[in-house]
Amino acid sequence: MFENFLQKAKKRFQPDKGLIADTYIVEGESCLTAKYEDNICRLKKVFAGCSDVIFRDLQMQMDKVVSAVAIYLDGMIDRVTLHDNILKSFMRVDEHDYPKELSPNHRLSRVKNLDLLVGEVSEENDMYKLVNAVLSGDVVFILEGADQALIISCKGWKSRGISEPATESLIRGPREGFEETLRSNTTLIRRRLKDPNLKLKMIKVGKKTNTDVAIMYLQGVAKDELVEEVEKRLSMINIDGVFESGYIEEFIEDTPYSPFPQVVITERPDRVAANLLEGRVAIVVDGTPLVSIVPGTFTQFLQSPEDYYERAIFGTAVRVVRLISFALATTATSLYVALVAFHQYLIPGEIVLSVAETRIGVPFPTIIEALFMELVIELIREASIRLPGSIGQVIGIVGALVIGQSAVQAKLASPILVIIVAISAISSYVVPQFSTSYALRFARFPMILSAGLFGAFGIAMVWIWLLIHLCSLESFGEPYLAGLAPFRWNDIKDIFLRVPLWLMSTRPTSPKTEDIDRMTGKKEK
Amino acid sequence: MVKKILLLCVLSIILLLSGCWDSIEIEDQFLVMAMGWDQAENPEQMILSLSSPTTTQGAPENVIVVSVATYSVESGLHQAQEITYRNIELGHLRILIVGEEFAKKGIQKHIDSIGRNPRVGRETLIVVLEGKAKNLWELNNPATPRPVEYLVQMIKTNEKFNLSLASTFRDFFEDISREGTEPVTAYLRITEDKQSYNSNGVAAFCEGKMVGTLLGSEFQAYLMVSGKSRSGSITLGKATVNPDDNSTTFMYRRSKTTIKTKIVNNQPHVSVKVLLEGDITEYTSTEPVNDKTIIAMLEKSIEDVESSIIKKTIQKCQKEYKTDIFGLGEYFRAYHPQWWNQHQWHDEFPNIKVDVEVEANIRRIGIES
Repeated sequence: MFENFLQKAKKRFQPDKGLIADTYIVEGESCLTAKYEDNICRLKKVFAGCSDVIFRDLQMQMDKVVSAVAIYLDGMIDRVTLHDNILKSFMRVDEHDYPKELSPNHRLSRVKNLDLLVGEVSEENDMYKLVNAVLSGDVVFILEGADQALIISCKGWKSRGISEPATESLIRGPREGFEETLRSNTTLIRRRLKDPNLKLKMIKVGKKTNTDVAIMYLQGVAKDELVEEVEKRLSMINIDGVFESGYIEEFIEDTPYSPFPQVVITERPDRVAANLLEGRVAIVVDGTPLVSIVPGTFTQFLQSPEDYYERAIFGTAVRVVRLISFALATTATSLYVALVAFHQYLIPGEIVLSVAETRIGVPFPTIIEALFMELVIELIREASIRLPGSIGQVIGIVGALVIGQSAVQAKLASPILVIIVAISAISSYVVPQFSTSYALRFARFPMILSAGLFGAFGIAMVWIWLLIHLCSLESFGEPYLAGLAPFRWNDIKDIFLRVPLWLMSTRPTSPKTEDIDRMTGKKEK
Repeated sequence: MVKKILLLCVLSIILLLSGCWDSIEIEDQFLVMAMGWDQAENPEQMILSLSSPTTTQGAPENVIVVSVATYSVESGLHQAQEITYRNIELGHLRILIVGEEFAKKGIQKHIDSIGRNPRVGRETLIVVLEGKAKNLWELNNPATPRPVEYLVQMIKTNEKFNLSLASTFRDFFEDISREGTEPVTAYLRITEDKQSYNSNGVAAFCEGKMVGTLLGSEFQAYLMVSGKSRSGSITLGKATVNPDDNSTTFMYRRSKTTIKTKIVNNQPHVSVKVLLEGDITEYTSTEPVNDKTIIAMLEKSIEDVESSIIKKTIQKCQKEYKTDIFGLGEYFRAYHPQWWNQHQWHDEFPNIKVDVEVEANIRRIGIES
């Protein structure tokens, strides 16, 4: 099922030269020893020059006065918890709880069990893990004489907070979007799927960034092989830093050179939850509000969560509109070029004269004219993203009025072409997945070129190439056009149509699931 | 990798080879909207005229007409190209206008080139113009600078009211190739003020030659018999109901034609039954019309008037023009193949017996009566 991927991906996965933790050196044994001064000294060496790492020395009144140290990264911890729950409990230990002649390790476990007012605490003696814990915002507590240390969870930092997803806003539907913190993102998903079968596997990616990556799936729905494959591909990633899910995407995609994304990206927890219910696997990366869903198939890019929240009839109607917009976005301009430069007899008699009139005086051949206007549209698009919010509006006006109208008046472009280019530009943004609209716009240029060279025949050629390419794509063992090629009646109800939810009694056949029945009532029959 | 880059370079060079470019931009096309055929002075030659709108703004004329004297259409197109500044393109031909004189000499061999050209649309109109085809461009109509547009729109609009026939190449070629029918085209007459045309007529053809015309009520009768009728009106005129000075108009909105054929004693019989359904739109008599007997009487007189017109029309085609433009032969070919194979339809048609029956149903008599 997955052999192809490895063959194709040899270059992307260089053999890993060592463990992630190798990037910093811990002298001597990698475990803590009973020599307290030695332990502290080694940790201080690791963190030498890191002025934001705090070593807080403590004297604790147990059966005798015992030295201890709390190590944490300033800014990554929650100060209130640190002061009220951790430091306070260390300083006010009840000496009656500590009988005489306790071994240091017993003292440590008594601190943990009797005094510490924090939920998530674990004992650890591996230096690498301790260093990692400090770096990810935990407090490490080392007690004199003990060869174990406590890792006290105390993560807390300034985050953006949950806000409305910017790239996938809906009229009807939840307003919550993911944010940059992994835990808060997984919680958003968990809150929508209150099921113990929702599993969450953690993995660290990136030698320097040590980014947390969570694999989420519904056990009993998602195929086990799929989950294993996702885990395998993630663990094979060898890179120093991961700052966005796009980094991960590039490594795990089956065909990285294709313009079509094979991973669904979303900012919406409801969308992730719905996809998990279909047996897909979500990959949540710390530090980005975009969650990847695999396998990603073409038909998913025509679906928006709102289709399911609105009435079924309108959901279906909107899908038809999206299909039309898909055709327009890829072909409208090139069709115009082919008609005007080659097949004038196919233009209806009523408008052929007005087309011809607008072309008189335009110095360029239609193909140059079309490419020029498409380039202008791309310029406007790119500029309006880069400009600060308030000026972005200005670019729209400049682009639409000044360039559009002036280009026509200056006879650089014919007005009909301007209309068509505008329509195809708008159509490419109708697609709910933003990364797909890149692919559509990318497909437009070869289409225009070959329409200008070979006419309608050229358009047919590029379309055939496009279809062959789409058919040959695969995402995690699923054919990219799953549902259409190979054709499945069962899946059509959620591709071109959006039948009422009570008619979708089965999950789509793609991706393959462990449990095809969506409705438990039916299963019992 | 080097090989791939080389291949890409070679491929991109191929694109630049000028031989591949057979594109002609739309503004370089001489978009022929109308073609005219006329008799030239030399009896063996024809005058081929091509008209195209000038798409350049500020051009002194709205339409350019290129005319050449030629022996055939195809060679005429080549000659016309010699004196034309743009590439002659027949893809947008809207109408072919044949001068009456030329049509009478026969157009069968000339139409061949049109039939072979894949660019010419089958929906292109073909009409015969009274006098010469070149008269069309002399039309001085205040409504539009482009007479062709005016003409095409007029024919298509009036077709709904049985006042014109939009005869297309498709119909013409089909009728030519069928053994049991002969083609017709619309027949246009210029109005006296030279501002417009009257399209209320057809030109009947026989073996590629125009043999005569059916105008006005005869034209309507033709439409009814051949089943192309849509809606129209019949004015009864005086003395039909009441001998006083009255006029009655019956507007039929639906008409249905049933044709039955039989062979009796080796003699073909055709019975044509026309059903008309419509309203009284004019009735100037003082007598009240909301009376069953009056309505029955009106229906009777409509039936009498219309059936006599239809009879007269069929007879005209049988005796005078000797051409079966109604397609009656197709019924014999379909229902009596044995008889068909033994006889020449062209010789038989003038002698067949035709019964005509018209049934008129008045559905509404108007609001005030």
